[in-house]
Amino acid sequence: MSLLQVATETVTSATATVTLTGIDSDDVYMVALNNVQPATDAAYIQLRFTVGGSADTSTNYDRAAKELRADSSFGNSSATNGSTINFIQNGTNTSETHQNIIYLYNFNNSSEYSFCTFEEASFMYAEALRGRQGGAVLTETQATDGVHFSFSSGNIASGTFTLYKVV
Amino acid sequence: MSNLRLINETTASSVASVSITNVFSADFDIYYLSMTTNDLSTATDNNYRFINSSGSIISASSYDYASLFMPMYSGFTEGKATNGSSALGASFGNNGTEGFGLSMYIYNPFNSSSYSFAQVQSVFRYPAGGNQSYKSISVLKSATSCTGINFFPSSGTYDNINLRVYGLRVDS
Repeated sequence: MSLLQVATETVTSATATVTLTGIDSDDVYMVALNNVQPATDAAYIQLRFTVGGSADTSTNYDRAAKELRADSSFGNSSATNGSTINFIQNGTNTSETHQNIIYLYNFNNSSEYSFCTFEEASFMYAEALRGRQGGAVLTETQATDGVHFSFSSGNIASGTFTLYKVV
Repeated sequence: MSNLRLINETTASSVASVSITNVFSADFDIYYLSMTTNDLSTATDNNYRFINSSGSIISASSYDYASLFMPMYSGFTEGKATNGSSALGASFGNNGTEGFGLSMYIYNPFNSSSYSFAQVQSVFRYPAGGNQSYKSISVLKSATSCTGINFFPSSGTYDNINLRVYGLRVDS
């Protein structure tokens, strides 16, 4: 496997959103999130796909995941017709951060839905290790060209977001 | 040039543990590790711990993990622990010659200001005649700079082991 960097953004001062674009082929793409932390406690990161560089804010996101928890029994997390793809709530204390590897499929194909799989490892605001392992789909037959991240409340305080092409 | 850079390849036979040292650095924040052809002398847990910048294995009770065992012959089971002295990073191996595969992402091991996280996916044969797949997440709850990683089975030895560590390069 080889990875070619397409776009990256490192947040060092609070910003509301991060957008990574540049998907222009039928290859699989991968997004790596590292040390992503909210400016507001108990906020969860939200993923949307982009069309022409702007977030698709429709209510056409479906998702399903197994939630691994070091502190309690595991859970299932799923939703249909949502406006975002949601992850674990992070916090503002040391290392209450979000790590994730997200693979993107069919983004460049205007005749298919856009899919992703994700593998998250988060330290949540209550200082417990949790992570969602699953997938999501934007149920619209359109080409999408990137990903858009924001927190459910407040800004992104820090983190590195990188988009790679898998070749 | 690929942004996935091979940093180290280690092979060993008939060893009770394997340490890979001086592989984590300021050059990368995320690492991909593969483990293959991992026959164990005894069917047992496969664990990991980080190695600090002084070369010492970190065995303090600071590891949390959550794991999902997915047998191909029965229902799934959960595994979890907090404040352990190691993380159950790869689950069981086998005592035959069927082989073993593991993929692992490691986050922030070198960063002395953040905890070190990992994700594991593996597939293996345990017990005899039964195959399982496995997913886990783990964290070392210590803001410590780590430069390596140590793998060890709970008992027995690795008959054969091959480990490769790659860095995910971010070009600013």
